Amino acid sequence: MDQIQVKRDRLLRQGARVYGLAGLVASFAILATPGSWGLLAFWTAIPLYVLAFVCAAMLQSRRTLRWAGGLLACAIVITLVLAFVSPEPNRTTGQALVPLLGAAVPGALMALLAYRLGWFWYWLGCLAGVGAGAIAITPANRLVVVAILLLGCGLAHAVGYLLSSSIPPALRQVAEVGRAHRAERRASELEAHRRQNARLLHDTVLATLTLLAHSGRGVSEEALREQARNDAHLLRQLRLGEPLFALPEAGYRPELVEETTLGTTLDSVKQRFDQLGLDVSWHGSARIMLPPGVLDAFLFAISECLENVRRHSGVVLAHVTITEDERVVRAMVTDAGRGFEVDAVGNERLGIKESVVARLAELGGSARLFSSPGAGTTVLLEVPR
Amino acid sequence: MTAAVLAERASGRRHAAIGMRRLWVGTTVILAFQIVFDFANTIERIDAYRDTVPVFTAWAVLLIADAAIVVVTRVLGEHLPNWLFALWYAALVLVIALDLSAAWGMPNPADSFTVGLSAALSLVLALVTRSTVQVFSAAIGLALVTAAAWILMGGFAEPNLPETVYTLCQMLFPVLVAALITGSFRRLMRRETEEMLSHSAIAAPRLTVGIEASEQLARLDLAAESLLSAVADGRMRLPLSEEVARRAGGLATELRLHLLESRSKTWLGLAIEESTLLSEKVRVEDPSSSAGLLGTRQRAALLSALWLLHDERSVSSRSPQQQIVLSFASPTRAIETDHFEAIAIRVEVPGSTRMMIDPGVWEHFARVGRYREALDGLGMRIDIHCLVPAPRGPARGRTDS
Repeated sequence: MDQIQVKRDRLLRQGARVYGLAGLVASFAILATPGSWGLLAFWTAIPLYVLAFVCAAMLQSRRTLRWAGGLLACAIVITLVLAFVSPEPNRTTGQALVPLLGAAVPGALMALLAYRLGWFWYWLGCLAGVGAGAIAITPANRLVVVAILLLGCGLAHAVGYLLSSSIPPALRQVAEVGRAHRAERRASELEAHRRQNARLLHDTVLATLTLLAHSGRGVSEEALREQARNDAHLLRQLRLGEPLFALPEAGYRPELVEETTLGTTLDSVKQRFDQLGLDVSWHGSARIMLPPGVLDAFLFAISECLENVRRHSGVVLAHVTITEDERVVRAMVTDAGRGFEVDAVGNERLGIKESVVARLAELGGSARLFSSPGAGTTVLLEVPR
Repeated sequence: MTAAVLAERASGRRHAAIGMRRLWVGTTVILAFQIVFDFANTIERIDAYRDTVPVFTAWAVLLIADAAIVVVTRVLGEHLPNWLFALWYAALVLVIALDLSAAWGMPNPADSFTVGLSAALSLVLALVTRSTVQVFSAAIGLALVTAAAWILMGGFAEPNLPETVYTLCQMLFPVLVAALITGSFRRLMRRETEEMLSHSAIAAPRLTVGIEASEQLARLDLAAESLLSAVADGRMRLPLSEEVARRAGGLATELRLHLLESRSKTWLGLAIEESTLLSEKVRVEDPSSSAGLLGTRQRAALLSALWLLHDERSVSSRSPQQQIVLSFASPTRAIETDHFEAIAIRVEVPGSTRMMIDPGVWEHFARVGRYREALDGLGMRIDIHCLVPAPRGPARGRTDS
């Protein structure tokens, strides 16, 4: 509520400044016509106008009350100067008083409406201005001019009221938009999460797509079709928001249960690479409990490494050794393939820097790579338990 | 033009009208009073006209045109097609022309200008559907037409001049003031809306994805699904044709990129990126994504402080290139505990002094962490030292709520 008031007051002050300045400009423009150039009153009023302009321009600063009061004082003095310094009644000076007292003064005093009892001070100031005007105007026009000035004061009050009363409902509307947006973002966040959590699924989809990109050569047509069918089905389930329980005929099971044994899932990875023509030989413990998120990342990392072996090593057998202690689970992926100079090949080209290292690091794990030409490759993966 | 730009424009339009209804109704009522007032003036001067047909025709045209615009704007929900605006403007010019022709030959033409004043003020009806600049140039156009006619009619001759200037001011200034006030109202609402929208990012987990990236991923998944099912049920023959194979490869690359890239954004990056106002003034350097470790309260406070700093920058409009820079250091283990980590945040506000910064900023910074501010040759530099739950172990990625 406090914030709303601060914003309302700032807007009122901005409005008051524009309104006041416009009234002053109009008043001065009328007064500055050649008809009054011969009058002493005109030349006396110029510095007062300058002062009034300064006051109006400063209305937005912190001491609004002071500047609004200053402008009122300037306007009253200008009125009296125009009325009494040049004795003969002049149409021009009378005309210049209307925007001065009917627009500039009430416009600037509009800033007071932000304060407690502001309307009281507002009308006090306005009436002081109108009173000065009534003294300055020739008796013949007095009634009409006073009525017009009062109308002007009423108009500025209406504008001020309109501005200040528009803010709270508008801010409520903004808050509503914000709430709707928050809900939208939460939904999108959940959706993104769901899709990204289905990493194992995406991993196999990526592998299948990569095979298809090579027109599916080198793999049996039947196996590729089968794989495509499984992947399409899982993507469909993901899209429809169904739980990703594996199909009866699916070779792999990205199960979404609290704790999963590594064994069955490792088997599914092995089967998949079998279909792609890489023989994977497991060593070490096959029953490891890991939280699902960590398990996913771990399996993803292993299969990414195996994919690299399949593509680059030139051999058809890879060894995966799983060991564990009370703090970490380790996987060592080894092949006896052609190997490479680790420093010579950019990490990006291996494709594992971002995908494997970043994901494991996020979980507090790590990935290290050892290789040299002709001596095979070993990747050591670690995740905390 | 990208989809993102289009979407942003659409949402800008959607939010531009927030809270304007009340303001618009108010100005319509004020305009109605002005019309009554000016009509009374016409009646008062009725004997001065040689022929009253033009001036009453003008009144009829003005009332019909304004009523039509009010109804259309209301029905279309704060929207006015361009051609209708042009037609309406033509009607206003016609009204002014009729009023001027009615006063032709009078000794002081500005004095009998009545319906024209109402026509000029009518432009405030377009404030909700047109930009400040458009409305104001329309008002200047009307004033210029009138002034040109008065030059011919002797309005600028010596005894008439004050009256003429007075009337021209009456034509221009109310519309100008209304347009400027509406402009600041709109700016305020835009800023409020953007702040509100940016605050929706603080509930994000440590690393997050934008709404757009999330939709993109869904689209890619769908494309992959249709391709794979086409392969599965034999609609596409194996081995695949060159073109389909290329499509599969492209899809795989994009999908891979998406799965990786989307992990690298923090809530702060999103909040700033999705707000046009904030991204102009603030830059974040956070290579290790430390911002994601901040708790919900710390995030809200930091964002509020940024918005206040943004306000200070938009008020004092000097050198807009000087951005506020937020740099996050990587988290370091806090002394003697495993449960918390320390992050050093440096906020640089070039060209600013302590006096110029809203006191609320310090309150917010204090809620982020312990801060120290210093003034150097370039501006304010604020160093915030904040403690966050350690990201590894059970507290990982969690935000206190």
